[in-house]
Amino acid sequence: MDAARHKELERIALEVRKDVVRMMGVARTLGISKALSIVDILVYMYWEHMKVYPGERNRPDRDRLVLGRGSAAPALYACLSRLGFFDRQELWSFSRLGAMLQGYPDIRTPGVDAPGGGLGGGLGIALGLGMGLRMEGVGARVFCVMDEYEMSVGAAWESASTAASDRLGRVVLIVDTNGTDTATAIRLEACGWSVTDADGSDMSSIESSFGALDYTSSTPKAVMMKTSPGRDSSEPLSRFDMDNALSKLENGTVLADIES
Amino acid sequence: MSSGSSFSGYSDAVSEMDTGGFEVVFLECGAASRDVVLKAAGLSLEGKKVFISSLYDPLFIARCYEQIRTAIAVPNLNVVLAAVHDGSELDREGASRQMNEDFALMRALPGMTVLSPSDRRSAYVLTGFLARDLEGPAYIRLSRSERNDIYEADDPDFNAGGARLLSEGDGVTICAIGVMVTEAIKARDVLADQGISAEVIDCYSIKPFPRQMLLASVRRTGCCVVAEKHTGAGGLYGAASECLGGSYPVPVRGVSVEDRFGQSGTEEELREYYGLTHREIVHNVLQVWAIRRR
Repeated sequence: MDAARHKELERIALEVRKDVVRMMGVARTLGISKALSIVDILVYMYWEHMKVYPGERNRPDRDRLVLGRGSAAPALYACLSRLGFFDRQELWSFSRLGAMLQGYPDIRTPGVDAPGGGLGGGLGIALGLGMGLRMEGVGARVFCVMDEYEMSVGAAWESASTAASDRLGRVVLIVDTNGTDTATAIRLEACGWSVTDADGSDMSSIESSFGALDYTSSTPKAVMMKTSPGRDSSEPLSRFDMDNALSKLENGTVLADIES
Repeated sequence: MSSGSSFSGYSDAVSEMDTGGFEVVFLECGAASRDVVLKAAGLSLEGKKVFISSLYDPLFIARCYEQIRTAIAVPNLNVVLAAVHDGSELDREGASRQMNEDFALMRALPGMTVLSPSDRRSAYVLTGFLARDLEGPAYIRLSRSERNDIYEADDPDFNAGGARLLSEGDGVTICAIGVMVTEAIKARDVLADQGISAEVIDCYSIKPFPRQMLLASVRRTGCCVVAEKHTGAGGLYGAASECLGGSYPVPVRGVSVEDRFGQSGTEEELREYYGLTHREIVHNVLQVWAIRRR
């Protein structure tokens, strides 16, 4: 990735962050740090690594993304609208009655490949997608974005323990550590996963971790993405918080959360 | 996909079935049952019709309820959950392996089809129906034990929302499901000796519920008894009562295991203990028959 592309991706990430703040501000929903922390990762994946076709959204050989952490849906939606999967106007009715953009990912939304699946359930769905693609002989890859909290759910480990013996080497698990330091990497390695780590708020680090993934091997892969922990207020964003956050973003601050 | 120990022979039986030209693939998935349900969702998203079964674990639908609900029922995926405990093969294992709440759990999920055939032949036809024709999620409760055949071979007339009128009468409607259909037929014969002619309905589709069949029947008979191997809450008795209460209220009683968990015992002992017998059906028929308005 050259310097110009690097700058371009950071600009896209900034615009996505601003959309996330606007969406969640307008919708008055909580938990914005969960959405902000994966923006850089999603932007890198969608704009540099994954093959997706907004004009042909059901194309069989597209790469799939499963967002395990449903509360990060605004970041996914902001990316998908910017890629052209649907009109950006949809963002402003996020999580309202009758809206296309549900609070958690719903497969009726263009560009969404899988439902949330419940806490810890994203990984199993990703493995199922991988098995289905392999049956059809399609070489597409499946990316599953989970967070550290979900990795404490038992269902995630039922899935993690089967992936290596199923030889699902085209499934990539991305764990947003959200600043916590647990034994997830060690446990994944023990289950036969090839685990690397990266700084999830640094495009160059994200690039090198994805660049190092070896899709010719049948070992399932995991990337532990270190992100800065955000704290969420228990109140929805006020208009002031929202404007304040947007101007901070414009001034080059990378927000982890919106603490005024 | 199967969860739990492997079962030989089953794959051969399904391979012989008319699956409408589809290729059948078996996946052995160990005991990670939540993972099985989630993988089924993934496979279904890739356009596969997925059957999940667990031969020795009737509780898997309870353990995986969140995954079934959120990953399969909410997105309305083509996944069939097959449980194999309608007989009493696991009765020696006691309450922790006896699943008498499944109809209620599955019926509560919007869009979920819930079936339980009463014999081998209808099970065969319904499985083919689920594989070829049904869109959306379904739950089917099957049995592994030998049963008396109720239907003729090659009888094709079974589908979601259907029911079969096994005998006509004007005294009482007996609405039964699964293993209790045989008991309902025995009860009919006993009642005939007592001068009450009973209509017996094999109500193998709890959801969609065969409303017209039941309503037409109770208009003739004026009272109803429901028989099921299930707790008293939320199963066939619940579905029938909801239907009758809203459209044509008549006296209705249920024969079930009521508000109790199971326990260890032989099939016969437990059937007697919990009152899942034709005698209990007859007893309840006499009560509703006595208070029906004619």
